[in-house]
Amino acid sequence: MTKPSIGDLLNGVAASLRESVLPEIPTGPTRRQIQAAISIIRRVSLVWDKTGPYLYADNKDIEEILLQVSAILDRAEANGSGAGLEPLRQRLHAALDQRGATGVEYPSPAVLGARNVELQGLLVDVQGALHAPTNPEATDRPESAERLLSAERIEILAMLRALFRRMLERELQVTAPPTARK
Amino acid sequence: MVAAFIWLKEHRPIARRISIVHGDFRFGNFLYEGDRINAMLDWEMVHLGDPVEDIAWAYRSLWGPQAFLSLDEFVTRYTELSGTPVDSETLRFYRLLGEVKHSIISLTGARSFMDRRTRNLFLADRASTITSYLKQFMDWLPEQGTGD
Repeated sequence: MTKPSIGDLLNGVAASLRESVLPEIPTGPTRRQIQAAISIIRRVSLVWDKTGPYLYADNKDIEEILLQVSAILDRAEANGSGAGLEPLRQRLHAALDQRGATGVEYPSPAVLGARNVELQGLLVDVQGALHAPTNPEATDRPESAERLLSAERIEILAMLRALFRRMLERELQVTAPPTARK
Repeated sequence: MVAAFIWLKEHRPIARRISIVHGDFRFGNFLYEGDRINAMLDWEMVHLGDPVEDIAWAYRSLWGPQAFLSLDEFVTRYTELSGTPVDSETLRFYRLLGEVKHSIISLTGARSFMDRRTRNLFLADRASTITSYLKQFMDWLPEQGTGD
């Protein structure tokens, strides 16, 4: 190492504030603000260097699941049970076709973060479509065709639930110190 | 968070009875003398609802008294004294709701700081706490196919 990482730098700042500045500040609102600031800097110092790899792994996991969801929707479309899901199918295809198309070989955490927000937006869209109420005024097709076949719906929901568990666990590994985790 | 809201909306229980729900019923929000509570504080989240909500909130892992009295023991004693049984599925629903509710409170605090409506730095990083609440939510969710 030729110079400290951002995380090391922030950790040093937090330690310096805690050891040399905080003892000089009397009890009161200002001291409480400084204590909170030190705590935030300390937490960010632990997270900073891991942000890029975390977002990369998260995006890859979400994209993989959305690809599988997309394949299920394609199958549903082919067998006629995916009525009403065509806009979602198109959005998924459009977004997933963009995989790896950042234009740079090593995307920054900011780029990875923007992609993460986009992918999480798609997860919201998928859930919205799966839980959309059936249309009681539609008389030209049976109700089962208004909503994705239950077997396919259950399959997707199970995949999403497993994904959410992995996403939360992944985030906790980055953000929560081991002693704070159960 | 969206998944949590959807699950809660689809699994809303029917209350056995409607009562005043304090909304923030926990240690720190009441005064006591001897073995009797003589004042409840912080009523800003009060509403009409299922009293089971207050039991669930009081037993959140962040502040619950489970180290002194388990939730099962509390529910047994509560049922004896109130004459109203506590449905376990309803209790689970409100425990799940509590994790989401605290997540929203934390996000609101963080948003207040980001919008410069407060300068309190203790609120600045509140959003970082919700991951563990949502993990708890997922851990308590029933398996799919068993009342999912």
